[in-house]
Amino acid sequence: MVVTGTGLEADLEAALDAERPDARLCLRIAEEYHRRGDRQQAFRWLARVVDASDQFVEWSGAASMLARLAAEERPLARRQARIALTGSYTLKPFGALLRLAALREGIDVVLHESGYDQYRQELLDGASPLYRFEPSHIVIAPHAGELRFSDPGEEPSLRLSREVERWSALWGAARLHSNATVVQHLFVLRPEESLGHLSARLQGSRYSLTRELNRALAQDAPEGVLVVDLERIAADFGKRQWFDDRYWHMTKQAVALDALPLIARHTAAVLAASLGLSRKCLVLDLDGTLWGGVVGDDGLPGIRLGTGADGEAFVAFQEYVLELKSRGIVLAVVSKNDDAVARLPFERHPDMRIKLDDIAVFRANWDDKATNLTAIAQSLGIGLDALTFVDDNVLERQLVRRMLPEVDVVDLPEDPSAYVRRMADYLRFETVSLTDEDLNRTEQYRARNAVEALRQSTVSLDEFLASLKMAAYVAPFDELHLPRIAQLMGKTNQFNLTGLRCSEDELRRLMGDPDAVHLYLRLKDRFTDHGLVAVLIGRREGSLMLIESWLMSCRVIGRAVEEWMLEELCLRATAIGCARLRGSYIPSGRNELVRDLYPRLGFVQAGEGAWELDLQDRTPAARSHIGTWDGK
Amino acid sequence: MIAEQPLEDLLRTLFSLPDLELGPETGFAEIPGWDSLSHVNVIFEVERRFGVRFSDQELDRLQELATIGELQSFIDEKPHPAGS
Repeated sequence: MVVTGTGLEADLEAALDAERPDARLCLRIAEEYHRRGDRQQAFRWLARVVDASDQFVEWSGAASMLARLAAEERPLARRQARIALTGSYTLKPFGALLRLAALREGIDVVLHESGYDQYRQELLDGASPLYRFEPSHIVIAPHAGELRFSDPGEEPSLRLSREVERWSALWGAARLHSNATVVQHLFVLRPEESLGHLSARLQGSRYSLTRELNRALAQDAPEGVLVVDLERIAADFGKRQWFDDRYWHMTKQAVALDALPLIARHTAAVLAASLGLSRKCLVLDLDGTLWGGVVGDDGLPGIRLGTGADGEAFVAFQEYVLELKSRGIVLAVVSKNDDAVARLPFERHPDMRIKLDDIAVFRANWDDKATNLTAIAQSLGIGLDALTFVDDNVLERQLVRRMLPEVDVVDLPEDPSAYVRRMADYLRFETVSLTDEDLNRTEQYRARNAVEALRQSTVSLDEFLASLKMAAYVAPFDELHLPRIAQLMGKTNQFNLTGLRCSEDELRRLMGDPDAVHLYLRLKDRFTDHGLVAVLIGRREGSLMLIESWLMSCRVIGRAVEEWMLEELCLRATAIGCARLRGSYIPSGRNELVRDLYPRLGFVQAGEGAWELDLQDRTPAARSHIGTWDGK
Repeated sequence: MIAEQPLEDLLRTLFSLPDLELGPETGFAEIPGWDSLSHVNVIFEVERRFGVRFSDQELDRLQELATIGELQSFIDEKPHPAGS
C-alpha cells in the first residue's frame, strides 16, 4: 500500500501516541478508513470521538457519519439493541448522539424516534409505530416543562400522586404492549423560582413537587424500568449552561446542545449495564496511585499517605475505591515491586484504608503489566473485557492500551486530589440492581484464587476436584431467585450455549408454562458459597426435550458442574416422559468455550449446530465430585 | 473580519463531510443531511465558535438566510465583544 506522510498511517501514529486523541483526528481517520472500504475500522474510530470530546459539533459529525455508514453495513458490536426513543421535546439530535455513545459501549443500535411530543399516544396505543418497531428498550425523555401538577388549590400530596400515576401508567402500558426495558429520564429542576427559598419549604411549590416526583419515580420504578438521574447530571454540568431557552423557542429543544453528549453518555451507560456490559474488576497500580512516592525507594515512612494535601487525597481515593468494592466491584493489584515490599503499606501503614483482605488478586513482581493483567483475568475466571485498569503512569497505560485493547484504561489526572472525580466520571461500573452475589463478590473471587493455587499443587484433575468438597443444589426457578437468574442470563458470555436473554417477566411466564423445564444451580465448596451459578431452560415437544438456554458463571468453569447438571436434567426429562435431549450451539463470538460441549457430553450431531442425546439407552454417569446439598 | 475558513470548517465537521465543496454561493439546502434543525444548530455553533451572541431578533433573521455567503456577511457585520 502506498501512503503519503500526511495520510492514514501518519494520522494513526499521532492518534495512538495520544492518550485521548483529538476528536477531529479520529474523524479524519474514520473517514479515511471509510474511503478505503474498511467500515468496521471506521466505526471504531467514530466511537473514539466519545472519549475524545464533549462537544456537540464533534459528536454530531461522528453521529452523522455513523448514520451514513451503518446504512451500508452494521457495526460489529457485542450487543444489539432496538431503541424506541420518545419524549416531549425535539429528540432528533439526542437520538443521533445516543447511537454514537452506545456504539462506544459495544452496542449496535437501531433507532425508532417518535414524532415531537407524541410519547403519550405512542406509549398508550398498543398498535402504535413504537410497538410495531418491537423495541428492546424504550427511552422516555420528557422535560420538566411537561409536568402539569394541575389544580394548585388541591392537596400537594394529591397533585404529586396524580403525576406519579401518570408516569407509572405509561410504564405499565409499555410493559403490557412490549417486552422492552424502559429507560426513564428523570426531571431537571428549573432554578428560576418565583417563590425563592420558600419554594424549598412549600410542599405545593413546583420546585418541591418536581423534586418529590423524581424521588417517587426512582423509588417506585418496578423491575424492568430503569432511570437516568438527569437532575444529578445537570447540577454537575451547570444549569446555567444546561438550559438555554432560545433553543426551546426556536426548535423545541429542551436542553442546550452541549449538554446532549453528556446525556447520551449516561443513557448509554445505563443501557450497557442493562445488557450486561459493565466491567467487573478494578485493577489498581500502587506507587503513585494508592499512595504518593515509591515504597521500594522511599521506604514505608517515606510514602505520602494520610498527611499533607496529597497524602489526604490518596486516602480519599482509597475510600472511594472501597465504596466501589462494597457495591460489588472486585479489586485487584498489579505493581512493579517485590511482593513483600508492595505488601508492606497494607500490613503496616496506619493510614492505609484498603487492606489485603479487600484485594482478590495481588500481583507484585517485575513482569510487564499486560502479562499480569492477563494472569489476573485468568485467575478470576473473567474476560479481559471485564477489567478496568488504573495507573498514574502514562507509559504503563499506553502499554496496556496497545497490548490489551479489551482492557479499559482510566487515565488518572496529575493531581491525586482529582482521582476520585475521575473515577466518578467513569461510567462503566454502572449497574441496574444489586443482588446479594454482588455484595459478596470479592470474597468469592478470593476463594476462586485460592482454588487456582490448589489446582496447581494437586496432581490429577480428579484429585483436585475431590479436594474441593463441592456440593450442589438444583431447583426449578422461584420468585426469590429471579433477579439473580435474569442478571446471570444477561451477563454470561463465555459458557452460554444460545445467548438467550430473558427479563424477569419473561422468566415468570416461563414458570407458568407446563412444558417448560427450568433449573438453577447453586454451588458451594470448602472455600466459599458461590451462590447461584448456572441456569438451564428446556422445552418439552412430544418426546423431545429442547435445551433453549444453558449457561454457567465463569467462576465455576472446569469443575464438572456441567456434567452434574446434565445428569439432573436427564433425570427430570425422563421423569416427564422425554426420550431424547436436543441441544444447540449458537456462536456469539464470545462462547467458543462451549462449541464442543454437547459432543463432549456424549451427544450425537443432529444437523448444523445441533446435537441429540438418547435418554433410553443411556447409563447415568457417576456424579462423584459434587455432592448433593439441601440448599440450606 | 473573520476568515472564511472557520465557517466552512464548522459545516464540514458538523456534517462529517470533509471533502464538501463550499463557497459563498452554496445554499444550505444543498448540504447532504441539512434540515431546519441543523440550521439552528449551525447558528448556535457559530455563536460559540466566533464568540458572539445573537439577540432574539437576530436569531429570527438568521433563520431566513439561505447561503453560506449570507451567513458569513451576517457574522462579519456583527460587532464583536472586545478582545475576541
